Amino acid sequence: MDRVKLLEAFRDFFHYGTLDRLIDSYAVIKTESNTTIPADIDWQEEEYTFNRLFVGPSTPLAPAVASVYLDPEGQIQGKVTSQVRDFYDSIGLELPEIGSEPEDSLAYEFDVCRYLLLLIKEVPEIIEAYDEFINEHMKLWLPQFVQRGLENCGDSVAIRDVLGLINEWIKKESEMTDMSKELI
Amino acid sequence: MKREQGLLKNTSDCSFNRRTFLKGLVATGAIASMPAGILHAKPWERTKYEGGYKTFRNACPRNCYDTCSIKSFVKDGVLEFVE
Repeated sequence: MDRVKLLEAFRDFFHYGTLDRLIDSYAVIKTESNTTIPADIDWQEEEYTFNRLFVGPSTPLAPAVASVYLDPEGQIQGKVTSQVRDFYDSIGLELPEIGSEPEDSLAYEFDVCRYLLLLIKEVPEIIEAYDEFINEHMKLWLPQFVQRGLENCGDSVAIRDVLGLINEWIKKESEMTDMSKELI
Repeated sequence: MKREQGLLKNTSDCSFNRRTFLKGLVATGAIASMPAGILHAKPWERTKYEGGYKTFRNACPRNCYDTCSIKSFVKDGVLEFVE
């Protein structure tokens, strides 16, 4: 399993929101997690469910934004978003169009994890920043997000599958960072 | 050992003690040399320029359409300048 490729595929699955990107990134997610793609996926239905859960136009049932789960009032672009923005800033990263989307959107959080994993290869001490982002931020909201998604995704095959794999991913990364930190 | 809950509590208290270390990565251009993602590497000059300032994004309160965005730079609790 290539951890960077898996993160890129998770990121793309949530970022682009087009059917062809959903299909492509799902294929990579399955390859990188060593599982096979089910044959009976109705992608039109998956696209509808994806939009209902994460996009709109009606209120998304399981928004893929950390603030919704971590802010006491679920306020987006509030304190949580600002703190995630500060974290990106400390690493030297920013959104291409600042203010266009909340920095704590899931796709951006997967992308910062990808950057950190790449950096760890060059500067092992970065594991501490990665550990902090995983264990003191993502792990606090991803399980709630996955739970809400699973409760509302109906008969979806691919989205249910991806949500399950994200849940496994966060558990694994949390355990791995704890172990890796002990080695440094 | 019990973890403190919420990375982001730490950052808000400005006790994110590896921030200086991470800034060093920006200075060396480490991020800029990585394969690009959907987040972009912040230009080093701007990082240096903003160093020490807390930035806020606001809207202009003048009585027209109230839609012009303003970026304000605060140091030691004092608004120093806006963009």
